[in-house]
Amino acid sequence: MTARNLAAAIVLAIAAAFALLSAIGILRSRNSFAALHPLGLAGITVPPLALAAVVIAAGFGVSAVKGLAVVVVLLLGGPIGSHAIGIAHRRRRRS
Amino acid sequence: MGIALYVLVSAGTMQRLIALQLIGTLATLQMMLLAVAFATEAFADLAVVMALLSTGSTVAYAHFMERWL
Repeated sequence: MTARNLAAAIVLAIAAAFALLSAIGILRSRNSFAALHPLGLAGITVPPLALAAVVIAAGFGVSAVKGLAVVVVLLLGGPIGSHAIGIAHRRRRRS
Repeated sequence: MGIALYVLVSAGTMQRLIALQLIGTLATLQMMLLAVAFATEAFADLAVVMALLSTGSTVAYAHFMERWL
């Protein structure tokens, strides 16, 4: 295993730890509004870390550019989805 | 992802939707990592499409649940 692969594995392990924390947070949260917070944790931290692992392992090639597009979409779409879920939950509780 | 799948099958309706969004994010990133691991660009294209679809589907599903469920 080269040093690059080892560094990428460490970054991926950190990303997996954040994803695990987020999943446990969603599992343990009292209601849906509380569960949106750990979802935000995963949505903000995991995609950039995964992209960093890709760049470390493979360099800044075509895969990294496509990965950058994926991360941008996820970073922009995560809060939009969380907002939509929150609004839907609030309106369902009202009615 | 296993914990999120457990929430998906056992929790309330809105928490299922939250777990679905988490699973969509993680599956997209796994696809991106598979593209690098197997040096196959098709997986990277699939990851881009999944990222676009998971965001749109979450918003559409939340809107659907708000209106009709």
